[in-house]
Amino acid sequence: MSLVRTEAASPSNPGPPSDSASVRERLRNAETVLWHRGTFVAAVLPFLGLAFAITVVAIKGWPAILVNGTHFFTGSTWQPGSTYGSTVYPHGVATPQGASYGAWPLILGTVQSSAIALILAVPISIGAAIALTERLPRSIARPANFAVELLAGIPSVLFGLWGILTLGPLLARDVYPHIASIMPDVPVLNFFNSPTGHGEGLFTSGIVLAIMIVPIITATTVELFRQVPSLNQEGARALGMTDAEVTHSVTIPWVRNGIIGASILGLARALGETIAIAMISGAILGHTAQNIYSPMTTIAATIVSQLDSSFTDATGFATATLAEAALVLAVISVVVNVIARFIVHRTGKLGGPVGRG
Amino acid sequence: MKKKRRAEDTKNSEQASGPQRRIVKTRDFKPIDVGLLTVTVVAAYSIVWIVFNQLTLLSGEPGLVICTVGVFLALYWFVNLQIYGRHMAVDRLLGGLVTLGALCMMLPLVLLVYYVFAKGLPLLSLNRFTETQAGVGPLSPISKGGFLHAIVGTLEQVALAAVMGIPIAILTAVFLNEIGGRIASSVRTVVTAMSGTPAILAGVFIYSIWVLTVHDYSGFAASLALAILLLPTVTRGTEEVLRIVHNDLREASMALGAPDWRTVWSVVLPTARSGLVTSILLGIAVSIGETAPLIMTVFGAQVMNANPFKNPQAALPLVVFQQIKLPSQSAVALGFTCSLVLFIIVFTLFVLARVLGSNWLQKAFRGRTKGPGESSNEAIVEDLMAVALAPAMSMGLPSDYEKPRDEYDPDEDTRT
Repeated sequence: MSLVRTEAASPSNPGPPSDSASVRERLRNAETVLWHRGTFVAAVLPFLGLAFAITVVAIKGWPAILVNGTHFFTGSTWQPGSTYGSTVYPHGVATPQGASYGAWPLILGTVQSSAIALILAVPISIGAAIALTERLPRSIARPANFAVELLAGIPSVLFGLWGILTLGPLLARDVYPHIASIMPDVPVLNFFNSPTGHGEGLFTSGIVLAIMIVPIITATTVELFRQVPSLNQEGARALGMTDAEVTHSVTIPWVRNGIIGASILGLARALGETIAIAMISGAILGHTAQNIYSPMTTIAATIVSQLDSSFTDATGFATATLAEAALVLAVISVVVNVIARFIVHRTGKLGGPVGRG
Repeated sequence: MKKKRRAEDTKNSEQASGPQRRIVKTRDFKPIDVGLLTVTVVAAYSIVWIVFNQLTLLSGEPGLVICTVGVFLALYWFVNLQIYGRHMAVDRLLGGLVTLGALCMMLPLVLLVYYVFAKGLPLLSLNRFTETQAGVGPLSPISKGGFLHAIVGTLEQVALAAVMGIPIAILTAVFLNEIGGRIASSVRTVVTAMSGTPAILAGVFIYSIWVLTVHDYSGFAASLALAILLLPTVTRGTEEVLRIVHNDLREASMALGAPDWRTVWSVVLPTARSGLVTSILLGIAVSIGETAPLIMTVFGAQVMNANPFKNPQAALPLVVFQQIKLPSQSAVALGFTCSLVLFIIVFTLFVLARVLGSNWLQKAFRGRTKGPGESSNEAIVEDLMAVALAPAMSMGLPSDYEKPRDEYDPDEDTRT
């Protein structure tokens, strides 16, 4: 490239010999190459960082992976073992006597709470997105859009605070008993039967998660709706369709995949939400939820709530187990995110929802 | 016959009450419709109140609200069916449903903000900002203790995180948008995956490689974790903004002989300046509220530690999380005031991001780009577009450079 340029430049200004010019050219090439390499390195950093992070967590959790084996995914015990007993060495790993970890309740709790959140949040988000783009006048829709972003950015510790002190007790007093009283005692619906508890549990966690992911799904869906060509909508309107019919037959089919992708993005956040769930879930260990109101815990919440007590394990096995749990969570959320990304990318560009778990 | 029909048409145009053959404009929402809406709401509430409180003796506000909404939707559908016909009634019903969705989304925000202010504001006083928790015990009066240490801690951690994370984020966005290549799409996938990965993982990661290695919690460890969390938000925001910068500006700069980095530094980034500010502030706002990674990296403290590189520090969200659980009046009070301050900081950052990002700069250019008052209702993307194009406008380029966003040509899109 430099050769071509020097040759092209030299006939046009033949005066001085091209010594300084070629130096300048070479400098310029060097800085272009430097620029490309520099930005490339910066861009690869997240890539390497993510791989490095997962590797580090995997190494940290390796002893636990060896010892816990498949029991980690099927067992329900969370037994740190005897701190005063002798250390035993299964697979050559130092563990306290009687240590036995099974993360099935955590995995199930994560899936259950996220599923409840998704079921509640998706209809509300789609409705809100339609209202914000097509129904409400702009003087209302614009501040509402700002509020959506703000809602996505509110620290999750505030949701936890509000959920445990206000929302949970309110629901447990005024809503759950009524739901429990109208649900019949048949196989699926008896999951909704009493006892309804005191508001710390699966259902409250699901509701708070729903509140947290609604703005994410809404913001992404609003972005998608804005990309629907207005010509199509106007054409449909010219045929005499009402707003509802235009939405139903033009707008939503156009972005259907995108809405699925947006929902999965919301799901990813719900799966990884930590602090709010640690406060609201009831943080019970070793039990799966008996009904929808009962206390439970998730992988992320357990990592936070069990971190302190894991330090009492001098062999470090408890910490390694938490790292293994983090690894499981990382794999789940990366897979979910990549799937969401592919689905949304096929529809169009992804809007930038803010906020995270 | 013809005459009769015309008479009917006239009648319809005067008042839409004829049963058939009239023009239905679903977009119209006349004063009479507002009245209809109000009356229906009042009627629904009255019916539910009578049935709920007087006849069946049920109780509880949530149940009342849910029943009112249900009855309102049914009534609204029925009234519109009577007045406008089936077509319109279904449209109005669905309109009501989606608006309800928007209300459902806003309600928690309103309640949460009300709660935080109601709990925190009475307890907030000036000494909260000037004291730490040093010497505050379970028997201390409720007004004792402050969060100066947490403010200092949060400021240092977030500032360090911003210094480390933002340059990388902007360079990554520049790489994705200006240079691209085969690796760009996988980098973009990873950045998206990062923006969705749980914050706790950043905590576990930094805990494993930093805290366990140096055997010390520190503000710096927290800022490493926050930088990881800040990165994807800023990258994606910046990338969105850089995409809006018009290609003609880049081509003009290159035609003047500027190398790539010079084009980015002197043309692309300054043009996208306001958008950059927005995405940076949003990234900071998001990372200020993170709690989960802080637990594993700074650990929290009750006294001042101004050195972010050594020993545990406090942080605002951590104070909320830890103090609110303690069985001591003063600790809980501190937790509530701290949550209020945290909310105000996040809110201020969001408002700043929007104001600096769109209105303020746009006003400066408005005289040259748009008619006065025209853009008050425009979307932020359009604002950014106007700001981005302002230099080109002032250089006397033809005004048809201002493409509406709908006509954005996907073939020009370098990302696909």
